[in-house]
Formats: sequence, structure tokens, C-alpha cells
Amino acid sequence: MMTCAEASPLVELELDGELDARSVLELREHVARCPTCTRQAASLRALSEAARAHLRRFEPPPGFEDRLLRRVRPRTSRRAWAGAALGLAAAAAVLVALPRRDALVEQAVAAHARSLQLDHAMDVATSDQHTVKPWFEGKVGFAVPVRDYAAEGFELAGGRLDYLDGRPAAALVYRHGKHLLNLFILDADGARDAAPAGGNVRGFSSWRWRSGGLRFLLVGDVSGPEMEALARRMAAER
Amino acid sequence: MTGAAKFGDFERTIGPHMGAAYNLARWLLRESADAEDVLQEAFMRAFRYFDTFHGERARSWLLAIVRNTCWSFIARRGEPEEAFDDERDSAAVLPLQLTPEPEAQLLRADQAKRIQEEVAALRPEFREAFVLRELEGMSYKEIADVTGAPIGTVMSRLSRARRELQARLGGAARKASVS
Ligand SMILES: [Zn+2]
Repeated sequence: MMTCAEASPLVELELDGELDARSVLELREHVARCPTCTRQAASLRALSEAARAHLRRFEPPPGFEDRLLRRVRPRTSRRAWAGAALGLAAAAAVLVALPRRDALVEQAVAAHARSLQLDHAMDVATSDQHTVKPWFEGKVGFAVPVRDYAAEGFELAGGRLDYLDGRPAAALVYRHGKHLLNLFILDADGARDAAPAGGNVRGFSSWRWRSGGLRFLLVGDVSGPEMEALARRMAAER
Repeated sequence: MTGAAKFGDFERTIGPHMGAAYNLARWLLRESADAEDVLQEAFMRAFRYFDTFHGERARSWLLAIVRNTCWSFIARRGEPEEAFDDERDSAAVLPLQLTPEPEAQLLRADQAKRIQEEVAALRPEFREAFVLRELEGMSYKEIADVTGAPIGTVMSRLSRARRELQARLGGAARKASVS
């Protein structure tokens, strides 16, 4: 039997998920019979919930990441980077790939990071495109083209309903080794088709294009050339 | 590795944690103008030390550097030791088995919102532990890695932070229910 003196310090450990399973059982047994410890546990839980609900998470001002990374970037690599842009026939390609930032890309990158952080990348987790496609029916206002690229090393892992630009977007999740990628698909609102353009936001690569009345944004942290190849492959297909 | 390749790696490693770095700096420094300067210094340090980073727990690694840079900035800024505060400091020495008053047990919505200012008023060591736990969801071990304190110290700082918050938010609840 656990005493109050033994139980009291453990209440906080349990709240923080730092207590081993056996002690959790013993503690709960004590708390169930002890009004003092029950109050203490409820009070700590209320505090923690209030903190999570109301404590401010300060968001960096717009452009903060870019500004800082630019200042930290070593001079030599700045020069190498500029040199590459000027050199060879690569010049044109690099200019196309220059970061083109806009609010939608920012949102897609944020949604991508959130999906990794929350450990909730998929609402429907399956590599079967014939399961993923119908899952989106009635959730977004268009038919979602779902394809697997396992042969190229990007395996379909599932789908998720997300929100970009204040409206529902389909998010297809691909697995590449240990990395997850998100392909966001939205209605293009009648905008013309556009070839893939790439950029870099907060360490993530992003590629965007429009095709067949839909807008696509691919976000991930795999190496630049691989992302580009995948984006061009996907864009060519639709 | 070339400078450009190293920078690319660095960018990919810290990119996902820049938001957490900013949030921590703001909570520690309490000034947005200082935060950007201090973070620039922190990221330069991080890039210099990047060769010694071996791919494990990037967030803790980066936040430890951010945290240390913030603390040296605060020392440089010469922030005066916080004056003794009767209410706060007596709350901090309450016995371990504090039993909250029944009416203080659950926070009402308006008290819950006051938590922002009460956390900001905590001493920096307590504030840091509480923010890393509740906003970053870090384990005791991770907080210990970031702050360079032993796990036991982390636990007691967290515990004291909570006791202070309970007392201050609960104290307001009692006052409110009397009036
Ligand atoms: Zn008890």
C-alpha cells in the first residue's frame, strides 16, 4: 500500500508521463481512495491544461528564418552558390529554382512540419491508392489523383485532410526512407497550368505546379535533386 | 564537405526547429527586438559547432545553444537580480504536500488566461523548465540536455514552478470568490 507521502511526488511524474507502468498502477490505486491526492492531481492537471491552451507560443515574424539563415550562411558558400548560378547552362535552371515565396508555400511548409510534429501525418494510412482516392470523396470538392511512386523510391503512405488558404486540401503522404513528404492538392480556381517551380523554406524543399485545374505543392526534406525529379515526374503525369 | 554542402545540411537540420528556438528565446528574453539579435548569434555558434553534431536529437542540441546564448545575453545586459517578492517567494517555500483549496482546484477560464503573465513572472530557471515541458512537450531528460542541469534539478524546478503558479492563480481565485 502506498502512503500519501510516497504518492504525492509521483502525481507530477505521472502527469508528465515519466512514471513506469507498475508505479502508475500503484499510484492510481492510492489516488482512487485518497481525496487529498485526488485534489492534488486534478489541480496539477488543470494547470497543465490551462498552460497548453492559453500559454502563448511566440511565432517568428515574417521572413525571420530566411533573414537569419542568410546572415549565417558562410561567405565562401555564398560565393559558390552565386558562381553556380552564373555557370554553364545550369544558369537558367537555377534561376527557375530560385526561392519563390508566397503565402501558400509558407502555409504548405507549416502544414508539413505540423504533420510531422503532431505524429499525425495520415488520416488514412495505406499504400493502396484505390483506398486513398475514395477516402477523399466528399471531403474536398474535386477528384484527387492518387498515384504511387514506389518504383522511384517514394512509396504512398496514406492521405490526410488538411487546410490551406482557409479551405480543405488533400494531403498525400509519401515515404522515402525515413523521410515523409506531403503532396498538397487544391483547386486551382481556373488558373492556367504552370510548370514546376522550386524553393526552399526553413530547410524544407518545396515544389509547386498547376495542372488539370488543380494546384499541387510538394514539401519534404529529401535532397534537392531527388525532390525535383519527383516533382517533374508527378507534374508530367497529370 | 564543402561550405555550401555543410550549410545545406545545417539548414535542413535546424530548419524544423527554428520556431521552437524563437519561442524559447522570446520566453527567456521577454523582448522581441533582442530575440532576433540573440538568435543570430546562437545560429552562428550552432553552425560553427555543427561538425560536432552527430545527428541525434537536433531540437535539444539547437535549443541548448539558443538557451546558453540567451543566458549570456541576459548576463551581459546586466539584468538586476530580481528583488525579493513576498508573495512569490513565500509561495516558493510552501511545503511539498501543498493541498490546494477545494475552490482553487479547477481554474476558471479567466484565471487560466492569466497564466500567461504569471508564467512570465516566474524566475528564469523555473520559467524555462515550465515552457520547455508544457509548450515543447519535452521529457525531463530533454530539458536536462537543453539546460545542462541534472534531471533531479529539472524535476524540482518544474515542481516549484507549478507550486508557484498554483498558489498565485489559486490565490486570485480565493480573492475573486470573496468579493
Ligand atoms: Zn494520498
